[in-house]
Amino acid sequence: MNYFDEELIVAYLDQSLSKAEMNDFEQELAKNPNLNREVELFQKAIKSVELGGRKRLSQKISQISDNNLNQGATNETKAKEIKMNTQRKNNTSLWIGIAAGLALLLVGINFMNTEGGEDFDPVKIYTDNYSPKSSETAKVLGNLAQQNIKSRGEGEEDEKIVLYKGKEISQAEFAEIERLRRDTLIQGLKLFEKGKWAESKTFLSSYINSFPEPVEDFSTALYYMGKVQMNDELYKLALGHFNSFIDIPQSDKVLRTNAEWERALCALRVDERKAKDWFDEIAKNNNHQFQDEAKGILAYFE
Amino acid sequence: MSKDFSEDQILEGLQQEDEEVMKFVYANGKNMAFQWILKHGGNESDAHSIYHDSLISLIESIRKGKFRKESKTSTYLIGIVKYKWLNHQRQKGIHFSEWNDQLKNIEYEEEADSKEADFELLEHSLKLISEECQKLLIAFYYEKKKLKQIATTLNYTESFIRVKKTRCLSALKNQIEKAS
Repeated sequence: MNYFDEELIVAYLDQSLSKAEMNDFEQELAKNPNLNREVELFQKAIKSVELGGRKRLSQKISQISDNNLNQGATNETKAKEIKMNTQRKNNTSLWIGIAAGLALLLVGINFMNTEGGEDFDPVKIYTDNYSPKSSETAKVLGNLAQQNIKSRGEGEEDEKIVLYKGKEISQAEFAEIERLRRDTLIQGLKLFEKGKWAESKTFLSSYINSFPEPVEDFSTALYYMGKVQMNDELYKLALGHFNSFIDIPQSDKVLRTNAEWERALCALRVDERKAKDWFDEIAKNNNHQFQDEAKGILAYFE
Repeated sequence: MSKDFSEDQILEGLQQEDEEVMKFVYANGKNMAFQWILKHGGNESDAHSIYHDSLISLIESIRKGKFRKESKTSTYLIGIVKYKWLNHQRQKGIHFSEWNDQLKNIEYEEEADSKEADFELLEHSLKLISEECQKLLIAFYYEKKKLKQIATTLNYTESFIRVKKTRCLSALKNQIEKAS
């Protein structure tokens, strides 16, 4: 496709061709699948622009709405802000016990921020609290490696028949499928650990599409897929994966805790109402690892 | 300190995303929209979100020429608010027969959006082209500005902007093709 052709396609989509040119183009379009595909891609590009424009407009309106709220602030809401600042300072003080030197510095920074009347900034909260990596990956990889070791020697009795996805296959074939299954997941997680999100996504996606069983490993793939989508700023897709993961009762408990926290953070980027609901749930759960953090973030919503 | 605007100024201002006009329109319709949603089963947060989306839809309708000036912008805006809220409730399975009558009186109609998965990919792809290209394309395809006006704003000739627009759109198309 040369530049002239692209110019013609754009003119067609902009409806700036003459009637005769439009007819000629549509006739060519009807018989040329390559041109058809190009036109579709250009239509998607225009859709992408519209979405981007809408996002910018939405941000402008958010600013106006924030200013509107600030202007209408009554004494009651001002009192609320003071309470909120106090809560933030209290949250900060928790760190003192962990590392005094660092905490003092943090308190200093936080104090400066809160004195200035910090606004609710979901992107900042997200960035401050989200880690693209997962401390659990090494452990999950270790478990998968253990499974591989345990399965050594399996499949030597080639004549034994097992049922796999409704088909009868030999034990050896099943062992081969299992090795492939675990290797796909291990590869996906190793790439994740190296920060290679796109490559990791390829393996995880292939795993999710091919291996719904066992459900424990399937759910692990869902969790990490949620993380790579999040790291790729594909927040709605990430939410979908976290929701699917959380819906599986057999999913790993520690990953579940992380997923609940990360799902709430992720929602800050696309649906603040949902984010608040999920932070609420975490804050009310006394056994949740991220209870204090959720309470801290909820103060910003007040 | 509040400033009044004529209907023509409002239409022009919203089309151009003029901050003062947007502030005026926002503040002017907010109370009525919020009260209506609160009265019809919503909470403050629902009202906030629906009103926000309605203002976007109002501006888009004006740009696309769908707002036919048969009513005032403020009336049209509250119509969008009602439409969006009733639609939202209907999707949740909350349905009252008298609401159908309410919907009939609202001239606004929502466009069907493409699939969510596409949304993410398309939103992401735009960020991969230059900021100037983004501005140019948004000004033309979303803000519906004329090439001449864009050329003046970006300090180029109109013919150059026409070529640049095609190049920018082609660059964006290539990003989408790569990611698909």
